[in-house]
Amino acid sequence: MTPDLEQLPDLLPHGHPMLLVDRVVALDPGRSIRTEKAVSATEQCFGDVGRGDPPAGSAYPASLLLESFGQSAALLWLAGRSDGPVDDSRVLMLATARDCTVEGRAVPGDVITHVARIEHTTGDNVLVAGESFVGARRIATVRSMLAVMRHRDDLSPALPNPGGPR
Amino acid sequence: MSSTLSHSSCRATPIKAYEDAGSENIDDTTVVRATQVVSRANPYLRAHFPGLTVYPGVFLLETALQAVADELGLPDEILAGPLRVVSMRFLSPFGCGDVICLEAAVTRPSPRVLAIAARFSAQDGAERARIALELRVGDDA
Repeated sequence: MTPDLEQLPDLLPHGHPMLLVDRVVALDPGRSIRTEKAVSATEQCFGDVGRGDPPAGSAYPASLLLESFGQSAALLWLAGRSDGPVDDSRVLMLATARDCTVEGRAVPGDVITHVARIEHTTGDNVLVAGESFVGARRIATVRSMLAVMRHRDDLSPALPNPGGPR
Repeated sequence: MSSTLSHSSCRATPIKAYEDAGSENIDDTTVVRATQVVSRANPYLRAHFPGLTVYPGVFLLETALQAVADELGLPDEILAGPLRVVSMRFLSPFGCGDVICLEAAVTRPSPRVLAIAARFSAQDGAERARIALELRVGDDA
């Protein structure tokens, strides 16, 4: 069954403003995905950038660009899983990344397009690669990124439980 | 030289990613040290994830970049310029209340490249992550 592309971002456990995928444009389950992330001056990360500040200050942070790509790749993997959405007891974690180049930047008004593909899967581990663009301009290349699904209990004692409902 | 809360006020960033920083020069290497307490006060952290605060691995990249940039006085144009993450390895996550301890060795392998080898440990000294990255700099940076 082809998943509803509009509902795919709901598969991610991230909340606002950390959910960094706005739209899934195309999906080939288990193979590749194309997503979009609009960069807006109203985002929290631009809160300290004022009018008249140097243009370099308006560059979308590389950390969020890579996170947005990672979430796109996560959606590709999650959409291809046969056992449904991830429940609250499991957390998707970035484990490793190699040779990720940010060669250009996005600024408010730009729409970032991520193209991610699965290179390899093993159990709850997935290896992905891909590129990010603003229009025809490539701004990032990810040679490899490994994400793993871990049970929250397995992360203890590194993660103290803050308690309370979600 | 040390800096506290000297993060640039006009730089786009999801988080003020360090609280105290200092540096020392050892031969051709500048060692930058900084700390960061993981707190749910930041909206990005509250959302990653709702009900379970995990310091995003990519925010460790912010910690390294911000602490090094402020200690070395790097202009925002460099932080907004080409960047290459050679490798990132996350062994164990940082959660709410954890203290992230950064030790970054900064070198200049070539006139136009600033290399940062960052090690992140918890308050007990156990290593939890490593990041190696390169920034493109000018000849006069």
